[in-house]
Amino acid sequence: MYTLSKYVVITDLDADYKLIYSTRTARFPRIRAETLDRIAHNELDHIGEKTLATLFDSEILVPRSEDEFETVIQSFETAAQSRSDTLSYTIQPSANCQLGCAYCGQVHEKLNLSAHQSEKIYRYIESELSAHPYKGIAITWYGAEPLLGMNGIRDLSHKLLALTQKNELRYRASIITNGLAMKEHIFKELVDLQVTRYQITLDGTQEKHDNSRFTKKGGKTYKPILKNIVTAVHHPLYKEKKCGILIRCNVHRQNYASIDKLIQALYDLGIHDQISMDFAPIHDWGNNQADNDIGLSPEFFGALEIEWMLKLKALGFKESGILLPKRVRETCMLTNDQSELIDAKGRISYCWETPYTPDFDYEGSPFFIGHVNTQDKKDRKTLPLGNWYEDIRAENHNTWCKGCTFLPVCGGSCPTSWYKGKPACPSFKYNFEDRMVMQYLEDVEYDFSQTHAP
Amino acid sequence: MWSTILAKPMRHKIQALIAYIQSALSQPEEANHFDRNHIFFTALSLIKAKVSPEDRVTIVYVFTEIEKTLSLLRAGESEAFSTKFNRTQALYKSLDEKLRFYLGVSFYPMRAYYGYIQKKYELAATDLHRFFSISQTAFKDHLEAKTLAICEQHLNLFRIHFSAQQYDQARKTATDLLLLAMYGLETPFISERLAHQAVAENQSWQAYLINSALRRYLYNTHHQPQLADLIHSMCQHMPKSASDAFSDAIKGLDALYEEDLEEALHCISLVFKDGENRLPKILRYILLKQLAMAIKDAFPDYEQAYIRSVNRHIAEHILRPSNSGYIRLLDIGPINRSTKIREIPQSSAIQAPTSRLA
Repeated sequence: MYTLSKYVVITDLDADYKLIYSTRTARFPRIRAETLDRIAHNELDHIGEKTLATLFDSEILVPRSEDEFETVIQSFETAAQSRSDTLSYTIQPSANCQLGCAYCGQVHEKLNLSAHQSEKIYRYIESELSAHPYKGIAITWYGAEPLLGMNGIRDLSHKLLALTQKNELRYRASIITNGLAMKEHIFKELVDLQVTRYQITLDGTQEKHDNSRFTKKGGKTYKPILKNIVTAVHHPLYKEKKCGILIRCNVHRQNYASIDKLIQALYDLGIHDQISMDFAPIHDWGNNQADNDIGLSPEFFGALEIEWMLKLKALGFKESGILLPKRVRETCMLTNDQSELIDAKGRISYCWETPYTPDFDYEGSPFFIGHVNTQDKKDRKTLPLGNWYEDIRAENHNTWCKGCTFLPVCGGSCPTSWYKGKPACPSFKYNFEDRMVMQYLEDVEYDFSQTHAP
Repeated sequence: MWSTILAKPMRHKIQALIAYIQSALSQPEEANHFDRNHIFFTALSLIKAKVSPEDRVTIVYVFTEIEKTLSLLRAGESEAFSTKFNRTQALYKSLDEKLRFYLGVSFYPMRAYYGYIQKKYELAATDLHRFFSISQTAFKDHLEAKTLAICEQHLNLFRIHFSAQQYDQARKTATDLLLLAMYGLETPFISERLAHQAVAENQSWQAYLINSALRRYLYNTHHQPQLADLIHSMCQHMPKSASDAFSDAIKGLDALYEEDLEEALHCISLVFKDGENRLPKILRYILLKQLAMAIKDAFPDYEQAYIRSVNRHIAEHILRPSNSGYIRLLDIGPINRSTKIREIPQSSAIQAPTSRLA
């Protein structure tokens, strides 16, 4: 009548116990190996009530008659239909960038958000906000390089802050920047504009980073970016306003061996407990084939990543204790109608990869859903990937998510990648059991300093 | 309005009381958390001899589905709840009569809560009465679990009456419930003697019931008369022999509402005299707030010192983001520069004890 869910990952802890992670609920109990044997032999009546309740509650044990895939996919569909109480916008205040990274798929142009266009964006957001009793707005400033459009950030932030204050709405903002222009006074101004979450990329040690993320004229960028990061972290506003900087490492064949040293360098600077780190394998962007040119195999990246995570934990980096994914209710902007991207030209799209990427950004591209100046929008459902969960159900774009254990915690990861013919599986798929054991040890307050000396 | 002409002994009393309160509020308080999950497992242990092993597994499964449905409702995830509720209701209805009966102790309170959220108060109350009926049999042999379960649902019945603006019924339900929880008094809704002794030892459970009932009256300042009525009702019905902090606080509050300052000071002194901080948070907040109004009128020169101490305590121990809608710092009011503010001395005979008394 009941059976082990297909959405579980099981790993041995020791001879008597196993760890089971349910991707349907992101619950993670430790259970006796004997209990698993009971389940395998359909002897549930020999299992105690509290254990049974844990297994049912975690959805590790499910009715044999249940179509689990349908349950999961319908939960995504239900979430997609429900209206969030927060309007989310990713705004590109500039189409330009100082950097000329080899793996970047964008084609930049010298265009920043004009005062006129900023006003149009504001009017559009104001209009959207009035369509429903939202409780807040979340803005992500994104590029190209957003700080090149600082005037646009300043102008639009002031307007949005006044609007949210007037209507007693929450306001939060983050920025994804290369960090090159984030001097102290700019950081201070950003915090004043309530930008408190920062993602800045460092691709390894100085030498490797400078070979990976150089200016369009070939200039080095590691030192000034790092200096700006350190200055920001030491600024009194950083703690006062509870700011956070996430150092993103784009990992590829030429820099993977230097990531360990970068971690150590950040630790040696004494900022490790104020920043967090995230590692991402280089992937294709707008069909630029960066993954084929310099990418690592997912298995190899997975093995490297777990070592870096161990080191972060041993050294006490911020947020290094979160190892296992949460259950997701939506995949990305593409599956959330209350989330859009607006570029410096005022065009509205539903994927980060669309603007300034030639394969998606062209006259008549179906990936733009409208324009803030006209406020006319197409029905997303009629556009490519507009019915993503049906795509998964039908195994369109050669997705294998339908049969994947990780679907509930991944949601198909990046629909656009699948659309391009690139499987988009998250890195945790390749080191999940290691993460489980690490998380378990974290939860029982295991002393990680014993495993990886600083 | 309180009389501002007071005899000297009264001034000593208020001076001593404020010192007691300052001392008591500085004491660490034990975190209390009421865990209700064991109620179901106790019920299940009573049931399992009466059902087959396979049915026992089904009962646990359906119970967890009901709990998950309830969690979605509490989290305000309306779309996800709606889908889940329909599935869970269909699942419940598909069970045979015997299993439906036992699982009714979980299913009906969940459905009653749904009715309550939808403001369908009559339906919600009907479902709770179904629960009360089933619980007489389902918990028959286990008075502790029965008491916990029935009281929890009577708290919900109180919430229903209150939200339906049936204030008389709400007062009666709350009075019965809290006096049962505190003193084991028999009430119309539980005809047999309950295992009060066992549950009375569970102070976190008592605090949970007291806080949950009283906070309803704070959501809207218009409910102050209803709160005074409830306090008066409890005061009238509690055992004459009751002499614990709860009973002293209720008597003190009642006296404050009745503007009997001497009696109020006497009772409130008893609450705090041991330097202990024993009142559930919401009752403590109401008492301190009401006392502030009396001090403001009758002893304005002590007002600032008292309010400062109380506000510090509220800010550090009572006020939380989740309750900021109805817990507020006391209004310190404009300082009259011609009024000399008295600081409360911390010495000699009126100094409050700093350690717990046996």
